[in-house]
Amino acid sequence: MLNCKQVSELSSRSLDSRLRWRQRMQMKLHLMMCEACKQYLKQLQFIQKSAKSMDIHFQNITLPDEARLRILAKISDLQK
Amino acid sequence: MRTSPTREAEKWLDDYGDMLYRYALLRVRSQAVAEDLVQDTLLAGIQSFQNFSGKSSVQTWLISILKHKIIDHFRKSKKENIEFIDADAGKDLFSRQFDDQGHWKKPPASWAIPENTLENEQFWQIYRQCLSDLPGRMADLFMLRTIENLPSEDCCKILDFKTTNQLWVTLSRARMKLRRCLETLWFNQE
Repeated sequence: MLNCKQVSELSSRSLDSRLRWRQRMQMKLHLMMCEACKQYLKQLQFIQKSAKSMDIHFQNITLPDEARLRILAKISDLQK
Repeated sequence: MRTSPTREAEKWLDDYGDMLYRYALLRVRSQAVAEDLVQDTLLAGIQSFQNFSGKSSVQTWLISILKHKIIDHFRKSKKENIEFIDADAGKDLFSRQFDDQGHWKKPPASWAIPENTLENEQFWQIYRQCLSDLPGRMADLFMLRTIENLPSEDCCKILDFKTTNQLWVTLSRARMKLRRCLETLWFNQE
């Protein structure tokens, strides 16, 4: 039987690679009986989903004016 | 006839400066570095403009240059970051969550996640703060693997992980930290 620590490692790994059949079965078995690990997996999936949609939620970030001027100057330098 | 590349670059800065900066800042987490990356991207764009076929949009083309610049930045900064991760290993947050039998000391409780959480601006401020709290190389790895969606093998090469197993263990710790941070700063606050 896997313990919670092992299952939490596998939960994270399942987001990065396909687990072996045996690991999947062991994890499934554990999750059927362990509410804490079930919640943990759900929360990792939420964190994962959030990370992937991060870009569209920060439209208010803009390039600071000083940086824009500096870059513009750099570009103009190239023309000379 | 095409206008000069530098004239084009001024237009790129106008049209895509914010977008490039945003993209870089969310990944490298330092304003100064993100600004430099935007500049490097535009200068590289000027250099390679003659090779730009126009098959993709200018936006897509510039982003692909920026992606390479970000990877280069991570590759260069991994050396200084290694110390951070080792210093952190001593008080390993991950292991401390479990007792000797590998059971949760404090079992994760259910999070109430309202439907509109991802539309909540304050949630994203917290999320970003929690990402910034990750130690250097751990954060870089999370960015490359989860947000840039680079294959594990590539992440290993870029960040000098000896094995994919080591990489997965580090990702697992990064997620444990993020979870803990979000729980403390967000889910327990409501």
